[in-house]
Amino acid sequence: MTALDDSPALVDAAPKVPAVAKVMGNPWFEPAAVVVVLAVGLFAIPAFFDSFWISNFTQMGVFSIVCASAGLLYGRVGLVSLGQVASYGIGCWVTIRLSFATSLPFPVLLIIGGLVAAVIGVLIGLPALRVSGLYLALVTLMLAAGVEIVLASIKFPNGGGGFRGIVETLSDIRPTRRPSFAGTDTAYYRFIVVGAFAMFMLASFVLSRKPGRAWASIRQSEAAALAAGIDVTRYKLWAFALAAFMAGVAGGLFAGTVPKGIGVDAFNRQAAIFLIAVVIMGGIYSLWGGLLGAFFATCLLKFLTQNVIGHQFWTRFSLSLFGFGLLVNLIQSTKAAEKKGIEA
Amino acid sequence: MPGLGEFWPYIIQGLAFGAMYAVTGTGLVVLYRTTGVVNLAFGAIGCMGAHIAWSLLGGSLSKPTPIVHGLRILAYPALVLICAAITLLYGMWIAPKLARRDPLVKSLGMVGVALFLLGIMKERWDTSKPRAIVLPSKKFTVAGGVVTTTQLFALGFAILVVVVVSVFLKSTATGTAMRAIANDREVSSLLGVPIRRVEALAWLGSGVICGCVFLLLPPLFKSLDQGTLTWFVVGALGGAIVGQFRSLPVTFFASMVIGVIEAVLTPFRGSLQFMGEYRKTTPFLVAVVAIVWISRRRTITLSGRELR
Repeated sequence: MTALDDSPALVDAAPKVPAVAKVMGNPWFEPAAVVVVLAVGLFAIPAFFDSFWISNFTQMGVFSIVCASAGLLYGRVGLVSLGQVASYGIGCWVTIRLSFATSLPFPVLLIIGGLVAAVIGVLIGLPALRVSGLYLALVTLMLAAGVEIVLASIKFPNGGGGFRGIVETLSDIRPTRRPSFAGTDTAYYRFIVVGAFAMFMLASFVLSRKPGRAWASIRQSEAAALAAGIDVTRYKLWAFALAAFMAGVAGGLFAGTVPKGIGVDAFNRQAAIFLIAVVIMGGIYSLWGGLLGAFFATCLLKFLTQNVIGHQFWTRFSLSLFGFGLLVNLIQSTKAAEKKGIEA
Repeated sequence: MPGLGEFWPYIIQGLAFGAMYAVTGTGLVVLYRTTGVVNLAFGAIGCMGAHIAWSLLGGSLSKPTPIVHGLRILAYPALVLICAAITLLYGMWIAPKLARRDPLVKSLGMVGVALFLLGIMKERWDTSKPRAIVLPSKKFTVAGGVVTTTQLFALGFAILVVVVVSVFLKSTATGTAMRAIANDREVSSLLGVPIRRVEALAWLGSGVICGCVFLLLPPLFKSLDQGTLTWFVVGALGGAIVGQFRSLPVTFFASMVIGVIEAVLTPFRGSLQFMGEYRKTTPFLVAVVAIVWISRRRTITLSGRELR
């Protein structure tokens, strides 16, 4: 050890790892966090919250899957899709219609809804394969707008018998069938928590395998990924299919949350734009961002309305708050990138 | 299949809406070429201006009024001014903070603006109440079809805007500077082009165009529906995409064609009724086909920049 090595300047310059970063860097941190969140979701929330909050947490559970699917495409593959609400709507529509037309178990309906959404997601992905960045966002927004019009034209969701039956009056629309073991709101909420957990695990599993590494490579540089022998087309389609499947399953879960009268509002152009704002606010580089974004979109505003101000300010201006939040997020991320000297 | 004469009113209507798509597309293209921003808040800003104008008009102008008298007439220039002010404010204050990001992130910034304004509109102007702005307009018959002066004015205005903007870009120093920035922002800066000032002018121009569009659009829709007007821009993107966010004449003609196709599909009945039901998908289908066509010879490079 030389005198130079002992100089105070060098000792001071040694990087200090913050305690929080140390804890989060522990390989057991994430599994432990998952267990805690799952336990809170399954046991603590039903025990301590009333039906109003159960309903909000139910919406959060559903929306977290959609957010995670959009975040997966944006953060992990670098594909900005504004069309995730289309897959969400298609999954919802297929599940509703199959619940009227068949007596298949609800989990099977969810999987079929997800698979149909995945197939359509791949079809959406085919034209999108040739574009990226802004053009990809625009083409997926256009496709989402098209699906919205189709859903409105086929009088979505309606509740007539069979796969295409239509009833004339709103009061005749039947509620979507729920699983027999999750008939009550609390039981259905638990079912959604398990469903969301399964979707997050599926995404996490795929991300930790070969596709996840391929997506990371594509995100860094498509040309470099090609040069490294990665089948960019196949892995991009795979990403679209997985994200659409997740959104489709979320749509199916959503179908069971509303007794009747689901409109196309949850799947329209505004919802598509709102979703990407929520996803960016929640964070796109981790699946946890999906959960956080869904929390912002569903529970946080209700919490502020109920407990902080005591009037409807937060709910009334919710869209404005999300717009403002998106702007602040984009500006702050730009500043952070410039501070690091990285060209954003 | 409807008779040929039955299409005429729809063609007129389609030309008027196509004209609005065309002017909106022109505003989008000019701003995108100069700043790299797709103004997804174009509709929200215009809708906000229209709502304020509606309030200035007394909030009761839901029927055609032949004479707008007194100070109420100021509501119309106020609409244009409000749109120009909001757009310019964003362009001067927030856009520079995102100037170094890619076009996608810059455009997502406009999504933030759209949501922000939409939230205010939903709170301030109750969405359950029908409201409209109707310009003084006359009806007359051309070749058996009824035409309104508002429709004719929309068509004439679109042609005027495209011609004036094209001439401005080709023949003035500021227009040349805008084209230079569109070509290469960094080189333009090195050559002494005042980037900030030219960009501010582009934002201002886009805002003025937005205001003018929203003078005409609510009367054509006969409603001030916030959702329809705010997301009108998504349909208008169809023409701009066909023009590759580059060519104003192509944007104009594509928008007109989209408007006419969308309108003439309306009267189909019987086994072809589905065409009328799905007619609103026209701009989206056209845009998707155009994007696929445009990107058919996409080349990627290791630097990440795409070559054409």
